[in-house]
Amino acid sequence: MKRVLLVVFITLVTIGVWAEEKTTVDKHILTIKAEQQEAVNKGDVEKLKEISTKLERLSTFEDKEWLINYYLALNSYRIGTIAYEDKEMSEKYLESAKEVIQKSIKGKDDFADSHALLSTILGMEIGFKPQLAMINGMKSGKEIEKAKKLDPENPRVYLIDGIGTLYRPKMFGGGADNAIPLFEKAAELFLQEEDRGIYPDWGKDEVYVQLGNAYKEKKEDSTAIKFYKKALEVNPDYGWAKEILKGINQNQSEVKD
Amino acid sequence: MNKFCFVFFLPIVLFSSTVIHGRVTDEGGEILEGVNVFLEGTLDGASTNENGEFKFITEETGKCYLQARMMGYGEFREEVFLKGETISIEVSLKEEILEGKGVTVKASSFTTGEESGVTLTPLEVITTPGAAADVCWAIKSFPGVQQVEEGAGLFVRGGEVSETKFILDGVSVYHPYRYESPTGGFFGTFSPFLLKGTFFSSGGFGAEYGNALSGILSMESLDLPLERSINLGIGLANLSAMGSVPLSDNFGINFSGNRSATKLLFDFNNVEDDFTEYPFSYDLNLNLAWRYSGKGRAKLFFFREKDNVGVSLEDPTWGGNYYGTENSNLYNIKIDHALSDNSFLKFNVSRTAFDKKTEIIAGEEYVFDLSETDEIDQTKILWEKKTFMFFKFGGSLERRKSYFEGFVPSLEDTLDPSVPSNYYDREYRSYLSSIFMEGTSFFPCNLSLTSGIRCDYDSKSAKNTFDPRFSLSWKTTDEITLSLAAGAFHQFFEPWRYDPDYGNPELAPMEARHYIISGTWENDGGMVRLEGYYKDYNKLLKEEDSINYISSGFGYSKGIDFFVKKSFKRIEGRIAYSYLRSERDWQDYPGLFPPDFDITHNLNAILNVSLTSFFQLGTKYMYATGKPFTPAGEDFRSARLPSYWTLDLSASYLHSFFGNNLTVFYFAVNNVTNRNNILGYHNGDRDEPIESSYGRLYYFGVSFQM
Repeated sequence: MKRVLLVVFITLVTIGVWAEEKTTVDKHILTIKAEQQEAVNKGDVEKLKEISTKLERLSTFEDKEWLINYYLALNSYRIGTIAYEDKEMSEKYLESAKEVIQKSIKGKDDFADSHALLSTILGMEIGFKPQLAMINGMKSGKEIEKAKKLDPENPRVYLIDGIGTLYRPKMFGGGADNAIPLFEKAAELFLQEEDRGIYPDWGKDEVYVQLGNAYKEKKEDSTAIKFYKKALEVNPDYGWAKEILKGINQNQSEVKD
Repeated sequence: MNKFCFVFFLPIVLFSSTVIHGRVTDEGGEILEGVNVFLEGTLDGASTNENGEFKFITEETGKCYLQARMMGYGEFREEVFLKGETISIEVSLKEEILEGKGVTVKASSFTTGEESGVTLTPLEVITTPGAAADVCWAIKSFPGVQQVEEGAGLFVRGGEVSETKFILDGVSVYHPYRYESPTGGFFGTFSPFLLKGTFFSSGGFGAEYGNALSGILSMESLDLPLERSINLGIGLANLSAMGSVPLSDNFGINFSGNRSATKLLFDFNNVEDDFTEYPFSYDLNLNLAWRYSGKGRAKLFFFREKDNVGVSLEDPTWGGNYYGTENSNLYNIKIDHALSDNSFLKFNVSRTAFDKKTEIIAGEEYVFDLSETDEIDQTKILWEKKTFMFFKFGGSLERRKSYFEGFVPSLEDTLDPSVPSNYYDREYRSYLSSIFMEGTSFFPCNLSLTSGIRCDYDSKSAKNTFDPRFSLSWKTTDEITLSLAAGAFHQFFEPWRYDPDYGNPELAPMEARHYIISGTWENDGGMVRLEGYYKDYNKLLKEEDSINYISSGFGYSKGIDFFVKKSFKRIEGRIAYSYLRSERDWQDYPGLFPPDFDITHNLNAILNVSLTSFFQLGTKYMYATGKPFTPAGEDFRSARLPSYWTLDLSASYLHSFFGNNLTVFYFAVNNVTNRNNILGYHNGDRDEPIESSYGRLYYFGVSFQM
């Protein structure tokens, strides 16, 4: 009887630890998601690097590794974009983001957000290696199409498609005019998006900054400002929108002087 | 997994915590900051500080795995047993080579990408056993180069030695060998210590390289030194000193001097030699590097070399002595300037001054007595643009003045005191102008196409050549690349061949066409390459009674090259095998026959073992089919010499005597088995073999780095 009890006890402990750990991973993901959003708000590269170390550790928990890798890739992608001026560092992080998101896709290949993220990373890589324009351009397009097929209602897919379109030369179907409808569609879908829990839900604010960027490209500054302000309405702590508006204000005051 | 830690050790070591601390470095012992060190399956961990140190506390117990991760480095994972006692760990991370860094594999060449990441580094030259720290000898252990003579001469894929062109920092090197001979020379001119890297192509090379039918050896000299270093070396046959001195952030000097004298080496080994003057050479090099702005750098390379040798010649009918002296000077100014982020301009001005005296004396009488001077001025300009396609456009101009004076036997190829001499006094001036253009486009599916065109004009022959070249490369997976290459190649003769008295002014430039197909498999630490080729030769030199020479010679060569390189922990090995069939109807051949350099099988197998981090052993086995020859009284080139092979061993030991100084002791035994290789037969008579004078040879030395 003692032995049976021991077995039962060990089994229960094992299951208990197992179950506890599962929820632990979810809990950690939720915490890290919030931290990531805050670091992005502030453009805090050091904080993002710290988050990377946490995600790396979390990825060894043998649970939802693909999703943790998604956040790890997103984190590297954020560092790569925020540190864009530091070419070497930016390239290094984007390279790593690419590697990790490919690993995530290997683990789960029907998650639209992963394909969308890979698409935008491939697009950014062209900035560093222009000789890859044709190859990456095509791959990037394929990934975004795959993402749309997997989840036609995912606003981030349209947001990323829009970013790619905005920075693509006009002769290859890019430009602000083609990008705006994609951002508008993304904005509309963001309004309908429900709470995603541990899954990615970023972009509600960014879509308006990108809309602003597109209108700025078209030299329609007042519309652009309207959208930048809208981004701040959605997320009052959004550093990128604040900075752009600050820059515009400074410019205007200089012109007045 | 940590859950097992919990389950099995919970009752015993409840609430005990373990401190884990240590230091992380890379393979070279450099401290690494920002490395994420943690216990697998937990969030317990720390990042290393600026001293590479980490320390953290964990409540975990039992068997766990410690991981260390950093971008750009391979993962570290080690088992630890946590039982409440402090654990101290030294972690070493291995640098990862980032893939996709613009690596283009082209057929027949050993390099990764353009001028960067060159496969043959100076260290690889030095650690090639039996290569005597010579660039050419090391290159001879790669596939596509045949062992024809016991020297440095590069005979590439059924081509003659002069068909391989040498380039230093972008300009042509006209006298690339020391102790020059008709089959090249005994050593290469440039020491590997002067070079940053070497690019070797055994065929199908780009339009930037011209006036070469078979191969290219392109060398890059050292760049701006980053730190001060002085190196002294002493060995059985040489004394050397070299140093690098950064004078400011943007200006620095590299210099070197070598003196090599072989008497001691031969005496020590009791070599029965025929030297009347032991081979002696010295060289001096000064290399100034200046970064004049963030956009450009300039480099001045000055090189001077002198060598002499005396050998007694034993011919069955007469005896005599050969003396040779050579002086070689090279000045090169190179400017690299970035016009923008993706366009670059490269400019060269260079001057070569070479003179050589050759004497053959039988008793009191001069059989051969010739002085030769050669002056070459070159300038080259190259513009490169790297956008969604790579583009190269450039041109060069070379002016050459050669002067010969002395007595040569009136019958060519005949050395005999009884043959009367002719007095020879000629000066030849010639110009060679070239333009070239090359573009590489990248297509989806990892396909890239390089196409180029090159035009040369030589004033001596008054002829234009026109060489289109293509190469297609397809990276089918991350590890496999397939390539195809084809192109036309031309080479002009030495100026004296156009002399109406000794040559023929109407000679056309020699022609070759290369067709190459190759497959390469490459991954971390390993490489396998299989390559097949066919080469078509035309307008080769053919002897003709009434006008000396005509351009009617022709021939072909075809073969397969196989290369495998693999490193496994402390062992690194490579095998290069070449199969070749080559025939020519040229010179005085009565038809299509295999030339000297038709070496059917050529094998080089090299193994380097690092017994400890300080002690390395290397061995090389080289095998080559014997050369074709004409036995006395038998058909033309109907037999072959016995096969040529050697086994070489080398050992090196690193030691640090005081502080940071590094001392390298090295020891080598060439031809360990004392194989008696036959180099030929006097007059084709098998009873009179010409034997190699290199039996077993011991060599040792030491090098101090300060």
